[in-house]
Amino acid sequence: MTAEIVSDGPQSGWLKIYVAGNSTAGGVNSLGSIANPEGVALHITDAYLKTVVDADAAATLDIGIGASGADSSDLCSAYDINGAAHEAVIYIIGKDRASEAAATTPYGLLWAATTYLNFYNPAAQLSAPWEGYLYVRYIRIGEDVAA
Amino acid sequence: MTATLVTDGPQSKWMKVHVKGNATAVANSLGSIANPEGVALHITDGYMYTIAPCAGSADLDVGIGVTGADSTNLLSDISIDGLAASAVHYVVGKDASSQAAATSPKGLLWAADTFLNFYNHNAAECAAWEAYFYLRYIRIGDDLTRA
Repeated sequence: MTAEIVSDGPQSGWLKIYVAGNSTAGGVNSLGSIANPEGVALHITDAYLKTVVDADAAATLDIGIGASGADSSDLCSAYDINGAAHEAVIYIIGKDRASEAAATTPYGLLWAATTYLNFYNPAAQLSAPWEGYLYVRYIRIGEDVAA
Repeated sequence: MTATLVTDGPQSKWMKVHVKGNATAVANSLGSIANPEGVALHITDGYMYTIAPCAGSADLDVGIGVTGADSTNLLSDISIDGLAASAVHYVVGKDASSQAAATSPKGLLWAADTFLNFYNHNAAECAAWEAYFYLRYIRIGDDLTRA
């Protein structure tokens, strides 16, 4: 289970997360969870996934918010990480929304203060050697001092 | 008339504006925010976070113009009595392709001497309504470098 925040350089306000697949027998398992990094409610407004290396087997990737280790899929559901091209970048937060539209999954997502950003392989296939970076941007939307 | 810039915590580069309704049962301004940088800005992203809806059938307009005006070039006629608490809505539409114009409501110029206006244009009270607006912009006015 490997998902960690990366701070290897200036990220221009993007949260950068490294995620890697594994060789756990049976395939289906968590690839890692990231705790809310600010301890207040956040609203995710933008996210991109960059594949560094694809998987050898037909593993897939779910990404979303939930309890630690859960199979959350409200940002990305069953993305084929076996067929993902090296260096490919995909939208994780859809942006095809008009003014006045609801910014709800997958066009924006609340990251509650005590929840986790989860990465999960729901397929019965090994996810190694898949590797990727997720870039996330958000609003600190929890009510702060003034409310 | 209550619209105020909020600086109560780290905002990850988002401008945060608190807006509150009032008990006036005729169309009226809910507040205006002066351009905070004194140079032309281009609003690239905007979200509305509803804290509480109102009881009356008020409608909200948001846009750029002279102070107190009924400006509608970001939001027009959004029914603020029908919004759920904690709902998040797009203010700047993202439904534009590469090479499309970043014009209202998919981007908007905020001229140096103009205001961001909030206006209830219905003859209905909106006392209980409260929301935060989160905006991001480019300082697009010509600065010193190439003048």
